[in-house]
Amino acid sequence: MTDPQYRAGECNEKAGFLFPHACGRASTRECGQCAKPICEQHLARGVGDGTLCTSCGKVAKEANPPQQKQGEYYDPDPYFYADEYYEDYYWGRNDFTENDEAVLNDSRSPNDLSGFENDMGAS
Amino acid sequence: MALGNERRVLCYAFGGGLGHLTRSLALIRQLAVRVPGTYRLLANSPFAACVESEVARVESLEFVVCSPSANARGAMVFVRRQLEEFRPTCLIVDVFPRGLGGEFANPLGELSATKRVLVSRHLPAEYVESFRLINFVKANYDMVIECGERSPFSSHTNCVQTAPFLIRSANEIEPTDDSTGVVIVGSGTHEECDELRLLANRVLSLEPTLPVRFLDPNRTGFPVINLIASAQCVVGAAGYNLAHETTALGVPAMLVPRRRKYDDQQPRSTSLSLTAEDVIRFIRNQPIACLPRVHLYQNGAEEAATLIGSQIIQAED
Repeated sequence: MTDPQYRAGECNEKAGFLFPHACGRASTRECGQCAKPICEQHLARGVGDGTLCTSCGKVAKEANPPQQKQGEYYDPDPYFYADEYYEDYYWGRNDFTENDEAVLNDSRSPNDLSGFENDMGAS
Repeated sequence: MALGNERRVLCYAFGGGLGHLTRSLALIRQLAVRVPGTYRLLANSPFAACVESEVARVESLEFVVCSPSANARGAMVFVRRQLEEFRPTCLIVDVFPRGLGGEFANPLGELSATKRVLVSRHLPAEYVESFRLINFVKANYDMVIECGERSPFSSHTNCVQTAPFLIRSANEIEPTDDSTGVVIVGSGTHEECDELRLLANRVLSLEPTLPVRFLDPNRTGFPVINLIASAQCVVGAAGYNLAHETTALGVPAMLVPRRRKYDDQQPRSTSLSLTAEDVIRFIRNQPIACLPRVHLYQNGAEEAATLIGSQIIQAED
């Protein structure tokens, strides 16, 4: 029986890179740690025994970070940074690309002509 | 303005300088007379105040300006609030399909009942490819209008080509009886405007008898197309509006390309150098113009407005 704090039958992870909202997909399992109903998209990859939701997986990774390969600056798991990867969700098309994370967290100067969507004075 | 079941057309014209605003205003003034409704124009240009008198000429138009200092996140919040509050029945976006800072990357999917039109011109190939813009435009826009220049989105099933958009139609041009001589048009960033102002001063210091006039966007008034129509020749940057205005009016122009993140000004340029000596040489080589000029003048904004109007009315049936 689903924990009463969660909505039964649907994924209870938060989705949305900028505007968090309920994922809305049908749940296929429960998180092995917090028992939250989750969909396949919000199953944490490469951490624990493979039964954790992305939230618990993030905590687990931060507590026990994987060995970083030389030249690898950040965790390659797409869910480590966002609660959502670039898939459709119930609001319709999600057209964020691999560049959106870099753009929004980019500390490059606006004068850098190689970066896009990071200079609101450009034309 | 009260929002009911009437048409609500939202125009997005973010970008530095006055180029995006000018092109959008050229379209809105044609569209508003053909398709009654409520219009709202969004911009973040630091020169937004320069166009307020022009905005006031369109009775159904409201002008909402996002702070020029807002970053991409701030712009996203601003645009999202506008979409939620205004609930457009038609969205017209100038040049940037995802928004200048990615503001439309997400929300367009929610606007299923909104007609979406992209006014398009050149964008860098790297940007188009890395952000998968061709697929994005195909999926999210009902119409692409190439306003006198090729764009990356010609393959869109509803892509139409028009003549360049001009802020005034042929019957609205009012050249003065006397020539305005040599017009140096201030445009671009504040720094680029200052550079052109200094250029004008330098030209005058070398040749005090030349009839040189510098057009300051903050002082001269908007638009300046009537002054250009009366000029013997024009000097400035090869931005979209000045290049197409001088071409349409048949005015000899010395247009130098500026470096831009998204625009390619090279194809519109007529000179690569902008020293005072080069300008003086250019001026001296121009024949005395017989005004008014006889020229072929076509305002693509008229045709675009007719096409967009059909889309809007068709969606309502």
